[in-house]
Amino acid sequence: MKRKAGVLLFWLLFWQTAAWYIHRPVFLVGPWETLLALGRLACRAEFWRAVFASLYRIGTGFFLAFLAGLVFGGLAYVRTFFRDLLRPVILLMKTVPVASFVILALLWTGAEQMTLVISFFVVFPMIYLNTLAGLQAADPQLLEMAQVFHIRPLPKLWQIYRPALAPFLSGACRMALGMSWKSGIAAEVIGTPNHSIGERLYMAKIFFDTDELFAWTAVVVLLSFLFEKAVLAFLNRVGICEGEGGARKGKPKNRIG
Amino acid sequence: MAGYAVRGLKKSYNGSPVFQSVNLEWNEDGIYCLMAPSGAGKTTFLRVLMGLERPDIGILEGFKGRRIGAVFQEDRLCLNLNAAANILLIDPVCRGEKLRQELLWLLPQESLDKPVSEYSGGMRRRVSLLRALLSRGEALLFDEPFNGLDTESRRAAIEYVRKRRGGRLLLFTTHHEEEAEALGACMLRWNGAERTWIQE
Repeated sequence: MKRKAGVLLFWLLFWQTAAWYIHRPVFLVGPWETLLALGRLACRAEFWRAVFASLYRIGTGFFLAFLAGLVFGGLAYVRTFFRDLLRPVILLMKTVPVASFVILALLWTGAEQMTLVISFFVVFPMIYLNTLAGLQAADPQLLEMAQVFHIRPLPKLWQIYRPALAPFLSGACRMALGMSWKSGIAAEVIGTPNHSIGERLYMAKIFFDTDELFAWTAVVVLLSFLFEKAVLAFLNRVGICEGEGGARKGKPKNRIG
Repeated sequence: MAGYAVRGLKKSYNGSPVFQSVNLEWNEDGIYCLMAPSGAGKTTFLRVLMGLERPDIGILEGFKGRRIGAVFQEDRLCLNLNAAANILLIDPVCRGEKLRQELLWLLPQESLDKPVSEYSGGMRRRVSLLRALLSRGEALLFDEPFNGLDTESRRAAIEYVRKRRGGRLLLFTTHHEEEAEALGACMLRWNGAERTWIQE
């Protein structure tokens, strides 16, 4: 812990010193200036409007993609037909550059809904593939046991498939949460929907407000971090994902289903 | 008429027969013991009876559609659940306090609230035995059910099987003849030359 704080302090000082040394606020502003700019921004209603609008779009996209990924991943597990049917689509989603998607989404849905679409497109394949892999990782011996004893579908899902799925899903979520923010904001910079973080970033670039650019970047990092914590905490609570630091010990559960 | 039977049963892997021409009849409430050296395909035979593997040829009578109470060669428990939760998963004949009382026949009191992952190998074996006996299975198929149990808990486990079998067919494999004797089982011997089972 102590070392962590030391490391953080070191890099902050490094950053600040570099900013002083270069002395060109257009290229690089220090952490202090960033903080000041952030304070200035936070006083404006427009700031919060942009923050919540972006959070809402990216969050909704993530949420819908998570649900769709689970459902389609489940279907693909049960029916190989679905797996084969979806394979090229997933491959396409994974390999087509986000920028191309953004332009297409702009044409299809307009700037307002585009962030949501991009967030969905980036998250869906990750959740889908990991759901499929997690279900396939279910212990075949336990599945045989369930078959012989005629265990009903719901308890089987919860007690045999869920534990196998959890590590895959929490890994996928961690990755997807970060990606949804990165690509979502990138999409907003390209499409500049009204009242969005991306639009603010774009404006900061046009007017050479480098301190605001840094401040907005800090906001995105912070939002991404908090969003990830909140989502993982929720999924952990529901029992779909594993908590930080591995298994919860010493908490035997009697309830089933 | 016998309750259960197999006729002309054959199963092979990669062209070499595991067993063949197995013709056996079992009473609906009988106890039978499969004795054979390792590698004779006892596990495969039980898996065919459980419906987990298809025989090459031959007929199973009486097993189809019936629930089976199984003890597998491995324990096959959900490690993050405690003993009661593991058994509740299979919709057992009793629940709650009654189930707890049943568990206490074979498990120490202080273990009951712990997840099975903290159990010893012998305790896990006893949970999987309890699960099979408390299931609604109409036939009991046990693959080396007392394996890994020490003398004391083996005696308790055998006693518990006698108590809770409830007139169901019990077919089990073992390496120890005294287990078969303790349960009064009818012996099924392995004929290595013919690769088949013969009832004494």
